[in-house]
Amino acid sequence: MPSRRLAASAAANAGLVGVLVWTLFPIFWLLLMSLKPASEAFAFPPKFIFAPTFDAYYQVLFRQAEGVKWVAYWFNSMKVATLSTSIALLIGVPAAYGLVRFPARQRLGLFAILSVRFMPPIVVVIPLLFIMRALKLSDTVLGLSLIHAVFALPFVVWIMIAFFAAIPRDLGEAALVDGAGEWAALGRVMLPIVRPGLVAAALFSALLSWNEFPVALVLTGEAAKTIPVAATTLIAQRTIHWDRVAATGMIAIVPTVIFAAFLQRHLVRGLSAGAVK
Amino acid sequence: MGLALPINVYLAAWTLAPLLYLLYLSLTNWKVPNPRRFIWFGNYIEALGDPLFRHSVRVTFSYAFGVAALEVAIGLFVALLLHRRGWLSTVTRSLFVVPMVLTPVVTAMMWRALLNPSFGPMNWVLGLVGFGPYEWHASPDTVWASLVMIDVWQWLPFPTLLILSGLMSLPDEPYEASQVDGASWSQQLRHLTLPMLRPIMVAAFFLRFLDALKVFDTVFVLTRGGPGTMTEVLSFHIYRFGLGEFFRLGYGSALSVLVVLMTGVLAFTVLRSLLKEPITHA
Repeated sequence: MPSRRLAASAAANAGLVGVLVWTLFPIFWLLLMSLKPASEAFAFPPKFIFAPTFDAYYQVLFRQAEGVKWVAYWFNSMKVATLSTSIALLIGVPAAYGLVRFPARQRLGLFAILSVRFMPPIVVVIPLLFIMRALKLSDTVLGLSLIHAVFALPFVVWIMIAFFAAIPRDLGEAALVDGAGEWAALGRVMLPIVRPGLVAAALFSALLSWNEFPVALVLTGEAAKTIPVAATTLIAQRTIHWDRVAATGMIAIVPTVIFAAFLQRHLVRGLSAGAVK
Repeated sequence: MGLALPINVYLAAWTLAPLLYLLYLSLTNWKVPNPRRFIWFGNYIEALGDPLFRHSVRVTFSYAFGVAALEVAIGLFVALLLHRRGWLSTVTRSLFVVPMVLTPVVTAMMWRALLNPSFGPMNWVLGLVGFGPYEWHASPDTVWASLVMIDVWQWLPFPTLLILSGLMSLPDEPYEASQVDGASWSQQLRHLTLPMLRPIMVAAFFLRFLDALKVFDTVFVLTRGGPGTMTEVLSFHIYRFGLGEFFRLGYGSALSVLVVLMTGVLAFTVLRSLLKEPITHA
């Protein structure tokens, strides 16, 4: 019996190591590629030991490799993520509170909000292209942010609902007895309690915006281009500089990994919007 | 009152209005720079009769079904591994989420390098154990395997962690009782764990399925719908005909409306079965 248990435990540990290698090797490889001298990039079998160089990062960040203004695009991504998150929180948080406070019409509201989550983004890009043009918002940070906020709303509402639902009913009613309206109760009593939720919702929304590709591809040109859109121009070249592709990839994913580190458990809950409580 | 007013106005302006405009455009033959003329259901008739569109619907749904089923099945297995106590599973649990947050475009570019037939490490590793070399996304034989593999790499953590949270909230009593009856680990798995995890596995499946229907970024970066039109999934089909290559805005709009209808019906059905009781204050 003990030897059988030992064997099972060894097999499980081997499985876990396998999962770790499968998860991390691709990212480790991206890092290696970004540090590899151009002369060794195409070596086969692939080289794991070489004299690292930061030339690719230098080319990308300071030399505008392939005529791409990486730093400007990186900041565009940051601006869009910040602005769209602000809009989504401003609109989504009161909505989530309302849905928890007045559950009578909750089902309809949740249906409307969560159905946005299942809509493939590509279906709205054609009308949006011309709506943005008419509003003089094409290729602007504001224009893209307005749309990223739409995509973030279902997740913000879903994350916040859980936080509001965890507040005891008496507390909400006590706030109202004092003569404050719903908005005042939300602002003065509720928001301070759900602050961790606000942080989670904000990080989640920023992550979505940072990673979004199809809408940014269609709605932005030179001025408001974001990192994912800019990154694809690197592989459209006749000769692909893989070291620069990798360096760009590393620069693009650093913020996402930081977001993830703070999100951890809320990540899965947020993504399960619409299905699992 | 009025807590929901901002969101109603916002979604009306930025979702409902664009969809109505989309509906209108879908009834025209607009193609930049030509003038636009109302043609009723001409685009729809063309789309429904187009073998490429039907191919696109078929491959998109098969792809979504395939990755969702695969990720839930492997996810169950990995969740059982992660459910064990020990530092190795704790470490794995926290690092396992990383692929899910990476920018999908970057993930696709990274895999394009990993799978590169001439210098990619994937062929090298497989070569060591006597497989390959493969052409991966460049060959009709392996292009779907490549796209599915990337999706599994990026999204396996999601169903896995959902199932893991289900595992951790299972009650102890049935296990204790069955232990007394001398049930083995595999019997417990079959008769206790799996039935109790069913709802969460079904939910994970449908979430992955509906999200995978949106597939665009990996196709854009790796295959551009090729070889030929083999991997021309719906999102890419809309992009190519409506904007990218042909700029047939009216026709692309009609394709979009059809996709909205298909995913809308599915999403509605899923939401209706999952959102049962209201969520309210504790």
